[in-house]
Amino acid sequence: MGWFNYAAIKNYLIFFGFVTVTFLVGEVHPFSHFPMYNSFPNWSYAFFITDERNDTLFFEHHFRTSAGPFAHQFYTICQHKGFAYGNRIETKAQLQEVGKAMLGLIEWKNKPSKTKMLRLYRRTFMLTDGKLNIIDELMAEKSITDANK
Amino acid sequence: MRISRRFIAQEWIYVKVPIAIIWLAFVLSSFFTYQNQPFSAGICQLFDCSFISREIPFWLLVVLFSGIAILYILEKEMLITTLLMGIFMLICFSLEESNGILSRGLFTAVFFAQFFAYAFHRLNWIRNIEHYRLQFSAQIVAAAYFLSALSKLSTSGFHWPSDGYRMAIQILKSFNYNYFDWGNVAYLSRGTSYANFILEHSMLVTISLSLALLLEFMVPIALFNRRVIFFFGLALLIMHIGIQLLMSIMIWPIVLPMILIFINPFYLLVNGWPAMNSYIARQMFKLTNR
Repeated sequence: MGWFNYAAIKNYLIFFGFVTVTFLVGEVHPFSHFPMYNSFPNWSYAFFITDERNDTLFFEHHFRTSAGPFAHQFYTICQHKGFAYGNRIETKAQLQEVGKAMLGLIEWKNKPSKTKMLRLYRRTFMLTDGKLNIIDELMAEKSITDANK
Repeated sequence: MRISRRFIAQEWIYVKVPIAIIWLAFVLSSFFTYQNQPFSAGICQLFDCSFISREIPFWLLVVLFSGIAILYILEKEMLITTLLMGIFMLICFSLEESNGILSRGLFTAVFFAQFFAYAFHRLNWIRNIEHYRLQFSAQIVAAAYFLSALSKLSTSGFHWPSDGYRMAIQILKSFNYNYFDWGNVAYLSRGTSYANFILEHSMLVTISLSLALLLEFMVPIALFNRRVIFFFGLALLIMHIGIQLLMSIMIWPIVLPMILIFINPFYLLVNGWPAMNSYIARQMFKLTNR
């Protein structure tokens, strides 16, 4: 019996099934192309929150989320609103709209007693002429009473 | 201890117990965390997944899901048990995605693969269920790495490894994430120095990424033989440790199933440690009795 026998088919049946269905349905869990880092664009974003004095409120200390999942929400909201994103192509109005939505989703774990306002910033990392550049932009603000709702 | 050419019955307990615990922890934390689905995605587009967390008391979910996990460990009604575990995992991942968090994971597909193994066994299409319930799971892991390699080639082409110097930006971002999470400024300086290292050693980066791409592309070869699966598992683990050290990124929902199924570290620890001990003792005995 050659190598392409019945056992060989069983050894690859699920593999080919999963690959084929992924090509048919695309990014629908549990199917995925697993596109993480399939390209290295010349930009990247991180998001952080400060109080009214611009002191950073660290996620693990204050909020029920962390920086990675919080950043994912930026892309999800952009997709839902139909905004093109990346490489700082978003308009100021779009940034503000997405920023307000992001602040609306945030939940407190441990609220500092004197904080009156939340400010959401976007940090852009870019590579220009072989050098790394960082640009911070204010996206949205929210008074603490609003953020508690 | 020698690794068999096929998955054996003794390996199963060291996979099923961690998988059942991870499943239980994941579904309970998802239903505890998410009470709404503002950006309906996946299966949650078809119905409101969050009604489970809103309408069913949490203690009842704890009892229900603990019962399913116990049935899985005791290997009772595996056709229904694996199907239920897959369905609830599918709902939880889709619920997370419906809250803007995209963590692609393999556990759902692994449970469905095990369901198919038990279904084929029931239909007498396969006899050796001890082998195929793990081999079918390994096929899912192999498919994920293979698809990941195809995705890199289709998006970036063969330039993907040589574009790797731009990974410096992703490294900087990851270490900034760590800083924004914990407030430790050491993350910022580490991120900057690692990013500069990448920019200064672009050839090394290209070679490393080429090897990683080749490894991902070749993972399906492993499916012929459990021993080869093990060695591919070790190579993939080294790749993931490298990514963790350099980029501070570990995609646990993919890495964990790979480690448990390809390497099975708990089986190795329990069975490999006594074998290694007796080998060392024999060698010591030989040395001292010369």
